[in-house]
Amino acid sequence: MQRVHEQEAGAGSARAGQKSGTSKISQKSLGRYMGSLGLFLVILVFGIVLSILSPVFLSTTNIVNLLIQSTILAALAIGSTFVIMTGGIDQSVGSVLAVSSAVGLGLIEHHGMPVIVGVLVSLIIGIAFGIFNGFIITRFQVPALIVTLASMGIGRGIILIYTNGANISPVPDSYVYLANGRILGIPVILLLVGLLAVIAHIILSNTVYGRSVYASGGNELAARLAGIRTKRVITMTYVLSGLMAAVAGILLSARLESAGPTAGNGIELTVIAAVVIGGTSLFGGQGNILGTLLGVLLISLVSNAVNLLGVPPAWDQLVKGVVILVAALLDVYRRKYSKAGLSK
Amino acid sequence: MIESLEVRNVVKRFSGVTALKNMHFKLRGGSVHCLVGENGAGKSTLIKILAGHYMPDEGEIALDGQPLRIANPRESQRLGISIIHQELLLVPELSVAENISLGRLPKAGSGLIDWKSAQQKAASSLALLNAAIDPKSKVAELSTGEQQLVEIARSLSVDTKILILDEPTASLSESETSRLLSIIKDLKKRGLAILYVSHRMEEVFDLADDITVIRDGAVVQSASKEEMDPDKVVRLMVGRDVSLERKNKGVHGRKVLEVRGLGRSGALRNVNFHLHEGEIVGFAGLVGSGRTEIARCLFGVDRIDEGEIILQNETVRIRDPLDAIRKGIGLVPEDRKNQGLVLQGSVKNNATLSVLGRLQRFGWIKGGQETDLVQSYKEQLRIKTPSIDTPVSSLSGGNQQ
Repeated sequence: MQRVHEQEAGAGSARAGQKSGTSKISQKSLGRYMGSLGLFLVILVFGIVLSILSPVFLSTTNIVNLLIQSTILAALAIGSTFVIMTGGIDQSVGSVLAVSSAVGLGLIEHHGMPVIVGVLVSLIIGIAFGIFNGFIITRFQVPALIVTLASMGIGRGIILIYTNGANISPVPDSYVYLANGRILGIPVILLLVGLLAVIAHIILSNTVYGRSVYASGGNELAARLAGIRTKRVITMTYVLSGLMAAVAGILLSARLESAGPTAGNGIELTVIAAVVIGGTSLFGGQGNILGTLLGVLLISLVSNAVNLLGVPPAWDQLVKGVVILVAALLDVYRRKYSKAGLSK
Repeated sequence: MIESLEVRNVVKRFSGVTALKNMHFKLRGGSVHCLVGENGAGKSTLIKILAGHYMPDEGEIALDGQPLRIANPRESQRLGISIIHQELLLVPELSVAENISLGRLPKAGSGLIDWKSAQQKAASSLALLNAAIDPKSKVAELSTGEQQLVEIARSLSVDTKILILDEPTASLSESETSRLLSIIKDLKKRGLAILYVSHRMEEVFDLADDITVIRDGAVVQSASKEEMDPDKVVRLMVGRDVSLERKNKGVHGRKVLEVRGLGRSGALRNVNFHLHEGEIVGFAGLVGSGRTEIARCLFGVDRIDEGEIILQNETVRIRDPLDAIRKGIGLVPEDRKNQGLVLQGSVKNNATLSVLGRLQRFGWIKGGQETDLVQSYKEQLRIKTPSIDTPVSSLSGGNQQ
C-alpha cells in the first residue's frame, strides 16, 4: 500500500510539476533578466576566482582575447537560439560552418574569384542548408534531431570530398581583416558579432517575426490557429541558423587563415549547451539572446581558465563538461528556489 | 467512511487576483454535494486546493472536525481524496488492468508481473461499477465514457473516501451520462462522500443531497436540495434573473455565410446551413458528431473534400487559418490550453497574436498601439488580470478564455 501512495503521489507531483512549470514561467517573464542575472553572478564568481588564481586574467589582452575566442561560438549560438526556441535543434552547424567557409575560400583561392563573391557564396551555402533542414522538418514532419544529424553528415561528407582532406590556404588580406582588423581600437570581429547579436535581440523582442517564433515554440497549434504560418516561421529559424553558421565559418577561417575539413567538428553540442545554459528552453517558447551570450561567455571562460592555469590540454574537455553540468544544475536549482519563493 | 469534510472560509490569491474570496461548505459522508458555478467562479481552484496542488492563503480544511493541512498531492491521496478530472489521466497504450494498477502492479514469486492477479483486481473494481469492460483491452480502444469508468475504478481500488468529479459528463453521451449518474448514486450508498462539480441542472437535481452555488470566488448559498430549485440556482449562479425559455427573435440582416454540401472524408457529409448578420447559429451534437470538424473546415484548418463555402455572396476557398482571418472569420477553439493560448506568453502577446499583421510596420511591432488595443479589450471583456504583461497561465480558466 505504501508503494501505491508513492506511485500515485508520483503521478500527482508530475502534475504538480507541470502546474508549477507554468508558475515558473510567470516568474520568468516577471524577471526575464533576473534569469540572466543568476547566470551573470555565476560568471562573476568564476571570474573573481580566476583573477585571484591568475593575475593575467584581468589584463586587457586576455579579456579581449577571451571575447575574440568566444565570437565563433557566439555567432553559432545566436542562430541556434532561434531554432531551439521553436523546440527544434540544429546539429548541422559545425558541418555547415566548415563546408560554407571551405567552398567560399576555395572559389577565392583556386578559381580567382573576388573575395566578396566567396563570402556571398559561403552565406548562400549556409542559407541553403537552412532551407533544406527547415523544409524537410516542417514539410515531412521528420524530427529535427534526425534531419540535422543527416545534414551534418552530408555537409561533412561534401567538404571531405571537396577538399580531399586538405586545408585551403592562404587567405587574402581583406578576408583576414575580419579577424585581425580594428576600428577605433576595437577588433572588427567583436563589432561584427556584437552587431549581429543586437540585431537578433531586436528581431526577437520587437518584430512580428520574433513574436511568431515565441508563439510557434510555446504552442504551435495555437499559433497556427491564430493565423501564424508556423511552418514558414520554423523553416526561417533554420535558415537563420545556417546563415549564422556560415558567418561563423567565415570568421573562423579568417582567424585561422585557412579553411579545413575538420573545422567546427563537434562544436554543435557546445552550441546547444551554451544556448540552454543561457535560459532557452529545449521545449521551446522561451529564451533570449542576452542569456545565450552569457552562456557562451561562461563556456569560453572555462577554456580560458584551462589555458591560464596551465591545466594540461588533455583535461580541457573534462573540465568543460563538469562546468557545463554544474552551471546547468545551478540554473535549475535557482529557478526552483525562486519558484518556491513565489508560491508562498 | 468519513463523517465530513469541511472547507472553512478559504481564501486564495494569485499575484494580485483573488481567485477564492470566501469558500465554505460541508461535504458529508454518504452524500453527494454539488458544486455549481459559472466558468471562472473558482471551482477548479478549489479542487486544486483539495488535491494539494495549492495551499489556501486563509481559512482551513477540516476532516471529521479536525483541521488539517493538505500540503501536497500525496497528502491528499493519503486522506482518501480521489479526483476525476475533466481531462482523463490514463495511459492510452496500456491495458485497462495495467491502468487500474498503475504503479502498483502485483508481482509473482518470480519477480515478474502477476498478470492474473492484476486482472482479477481490475475485474473486481470494475464489477463494483457494473462495468462490462475487459481488463485486457487497451484503454485507447475504449469510449470516453468507458475510460472514465476505468479511472473511477482505479480510484476505488485505492482506499478512496472522498470522490471529487469535475464536470464528468462534459464529453459523455446521454446513455453514458445516465449510467454514470446511477453509479454515483450507488457509490454514495456505499458511504463515499462525493463532491460533484457541474452546471447541468438536471444532473445536479438528480444527484444532489446538498448544493453549493459559487460566484466570483465566493459561496452565494449552500443549502440542501430541498431548499433549492433550478431557477433559483441559475439565478444565484449568474447573479441576475435568467429565463431559460428565452426566445430570441432578433432582426437578422444580410446573409453573410452559406455552406452547401460540405464534406470531408471520414468526418463530414453534406453539411448545409446559412448564417446572417446579427444571428447566432448553434451546433448541437455529441462528441465526435462533427461539430468541431465543421468549425475547422470553415477556418481552413482542415481541407474540404466537397461542397462550397459562400462568404458575402462569393464562393471562396479558405486555404489556412491566416486566410480565414483575412476573410473576417474568427475562431475560439474548444481547448484553450492546447489550441488557444501560448501559456508562457503574456496576456498582451496572446491577445494580439492573430492581429500582429495590423500592428506592425515593416515587421516592427508598434508597442504603444498594441498596449492600447489590449488595454481596451481588457476593459471591454472585463478580464481580471493585474496587468496585461502578466503571463496568461496565471489567470483563472474563465479569464484565460
